[in-house]
Amino acid sequence: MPCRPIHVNLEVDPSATQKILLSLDKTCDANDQATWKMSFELLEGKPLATVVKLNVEIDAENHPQAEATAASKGLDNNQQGQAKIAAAIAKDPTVGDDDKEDAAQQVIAVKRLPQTAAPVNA
Amino acid sequence: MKPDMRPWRYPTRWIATALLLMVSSSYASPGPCTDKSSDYNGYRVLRVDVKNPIAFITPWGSLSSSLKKGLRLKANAPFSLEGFEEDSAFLSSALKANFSSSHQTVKLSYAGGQILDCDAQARTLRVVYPIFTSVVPSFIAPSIEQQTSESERPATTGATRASERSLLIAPLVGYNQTRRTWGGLTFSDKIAGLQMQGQAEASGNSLSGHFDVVGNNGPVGNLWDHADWAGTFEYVDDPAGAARFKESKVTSRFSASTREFATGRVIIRYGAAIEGGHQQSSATGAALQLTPNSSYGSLKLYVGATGRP
Repeated sequence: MPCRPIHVNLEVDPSATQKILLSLDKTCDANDQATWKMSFELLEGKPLATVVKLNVEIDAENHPQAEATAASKGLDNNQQGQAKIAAAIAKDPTVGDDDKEDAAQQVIAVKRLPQTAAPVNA
Repeated sequence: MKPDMRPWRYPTRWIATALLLMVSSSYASPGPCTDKSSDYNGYRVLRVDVKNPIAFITPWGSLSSSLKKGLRLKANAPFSLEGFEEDSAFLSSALKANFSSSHQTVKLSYAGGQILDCDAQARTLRVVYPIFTSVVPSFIAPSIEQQTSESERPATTGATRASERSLLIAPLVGYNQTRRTWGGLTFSDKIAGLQMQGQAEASGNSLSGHFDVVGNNGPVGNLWDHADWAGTFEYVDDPAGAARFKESKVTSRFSASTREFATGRVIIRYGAAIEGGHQQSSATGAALQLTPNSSYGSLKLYVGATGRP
């Protein structure tokens, strides 16, 4: 399957004082290698100000989950739960950047993929 | 009797058949584009389309056609992977920017890229950018939230909406108990720096509409640093209980502000508004005691100063 670009933007405004921005971008290089990037931004307050901003490159093993997330044009229940965890971790000043990025990466990684056909035993 | 099958017996048919065979043998129908995108660099792009599944909502002010103008890949120009990637990213940014014009709780946009109908012999292909946005284009009709936003944040909301495309026409349909089912059109356009907007609605028992022209002007000597003006016309013919209410009104407004004076840091603001029209009511019951016809006119002038220490 050749690599083709995909860009998905999701904005959730739970209240007048909170805004969550999530972007998922797939780009293709000249060798048809896909790069998936996710950006996560949390704005809070009045006026809204950026509290957290993370840019994460999705690991290659999570590319199928990223593709499935883009295709479904939204987050499933697992991912929504993980997004809340990632937001809480991202706001914690005692947590390092690596852990914050790992938590954000997990938002894509926990995507539930359709079951593959089970091997038939003779 | 045996039929005569010699070629010269039906020359036209033989020539047509021969031409058809020649064409079909040299023509390979476009197929799927399964190679990597960079393999198609240099192919001639036959067509570039932006496919929006909700484009039918506003066929006259299509989001797809307005976005298409900003694309790097063009029809009859060579394909490039770089341009293909840039166009997809551009569409994503444009759709995301439109989020600010909506007050929906959840907004979603999608922009992709597809290469179709690749013909290796003719070195041609077709490019399609599928897009989707959950944000209904703001030019359909301003929602109550937008109108509230316009009154609370006129500058930012106005800038957001004014930055959108020029000619927009959209149909309107609605129902309320008084007017019953009504239909109409809303349009806006920008010509020679003038922003024009109008709306007309009609039902079996009502007619209403308005037309606004808004403009502004930059510095003119010492007269003003910035000036805004507007002209509006409004007409209403609605049922109001047992009576009918009609109103037509023309207004003209002008406001200007000077540059800040170097001495005193003061800005002078001034303006004028003139309004005129009439109101009519036709009551079937005398108990309503409504004035049957009243004309209305006003002239307002103002001047003020704003200073800072």
